[in-house]
Amino acid sequence: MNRIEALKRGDPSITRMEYETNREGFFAFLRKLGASEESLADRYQDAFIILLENIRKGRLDQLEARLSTYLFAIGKYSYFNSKKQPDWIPLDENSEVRLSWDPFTDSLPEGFTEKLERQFRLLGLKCQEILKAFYYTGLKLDEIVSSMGYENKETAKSQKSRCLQQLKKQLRS
Amino acid sequence: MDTTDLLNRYFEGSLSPEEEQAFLLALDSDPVLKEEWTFRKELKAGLHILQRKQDKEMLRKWDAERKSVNPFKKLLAVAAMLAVIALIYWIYSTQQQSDNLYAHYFQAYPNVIRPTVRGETADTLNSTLLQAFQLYEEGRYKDAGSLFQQAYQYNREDYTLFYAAICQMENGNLREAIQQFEAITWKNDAYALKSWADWYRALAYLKLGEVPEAKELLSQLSRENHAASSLAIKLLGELN
Repeated sequence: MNRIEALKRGDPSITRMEYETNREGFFAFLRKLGASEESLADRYQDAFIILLENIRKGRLDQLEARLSTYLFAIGKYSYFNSKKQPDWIPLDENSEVRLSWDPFTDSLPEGFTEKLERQFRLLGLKCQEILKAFYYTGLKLDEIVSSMGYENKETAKSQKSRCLQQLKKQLRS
Repeated sequence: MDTTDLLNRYFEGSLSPEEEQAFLLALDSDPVLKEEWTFRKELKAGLHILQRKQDKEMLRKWDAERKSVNPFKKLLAVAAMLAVIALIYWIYSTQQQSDNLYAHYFQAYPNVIRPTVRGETADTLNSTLLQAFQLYEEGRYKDAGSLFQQAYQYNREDYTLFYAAICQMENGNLREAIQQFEAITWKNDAYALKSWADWYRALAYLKLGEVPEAKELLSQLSRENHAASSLAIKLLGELN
């Protein structure tokens, strides 16, 4: 299994190894760009989160550059973007390694995330899995059928619909 | 296409640009659809924010672990490095001392068996032995050693093996020399070489860095009444 596949599956030791081995190099790279010492740890954590998210979404399945190059590119564009706005958001364009990132900055209803966190945990594991696969990982229903072992697309669609209704009910209660 | 399919395809990103445009227009005129769309949009954003929060916590935890572990690890690494340096220095200085003492005390035992007569022909019965001693005195210890080994096959004299072992020492084969000295049975030690053999064994152990073995032999020798005893006492004093 290659590294990207292991990271996609959430292998904790590979994830940590990747995090630890690129850390000093990333710090040195951002220092050269002029980033302040106290911001480095946070910037690295955020860049690594973007990396993980893009891997989980399958956006790096065909990555030809080295993973560290991609990670450093995230850091670079995050840094330059942060100089323009206080709450920095990585750019999606103009990169030698194309970055993909949705900051989800649209305002959510007050307290929605906290409530979702509580209620989502109360769902059955199967519901958590299918909703996360569709709304976080971005798998299409056809892909969910094959990756999660549903009989067909209709079954997966019905399951997702039931889970959505259950979650909605819980959130409103 | 029903609204569920439309919503699924919108969130899958599989609507054509025209379908997407029509879908977004339909939202304005269908409050139920818009409510469902909004919920799913919030769910999508919420799940991303929650996962990022979870990831951030994990990475912060790793950083905190590294910070708490690192000072100890660094201290351990420094201590280990110092220990290695001390050990290397100790080994080096001990070895250096052993080498110096060996160089000072070791010299090939003289030929006390049969003085070499230059030009003597090699057609006597003892020609092999004679030649061995000639080579020994000329410092050609490798060849001499082979001839002593050959000579032993017919004379069975302990001294032949003794000199063969000295040749091994001269050739730097200390382990083999020790084995050779130990293999001598000393049935007939007419030349009082046994104690000298112990002396040479002690020197070989010293050169090999096996100081306790060397000291043990020297200690035994020091209690004997032999020419090697005074040397043994002197060397022991330098080792202690």
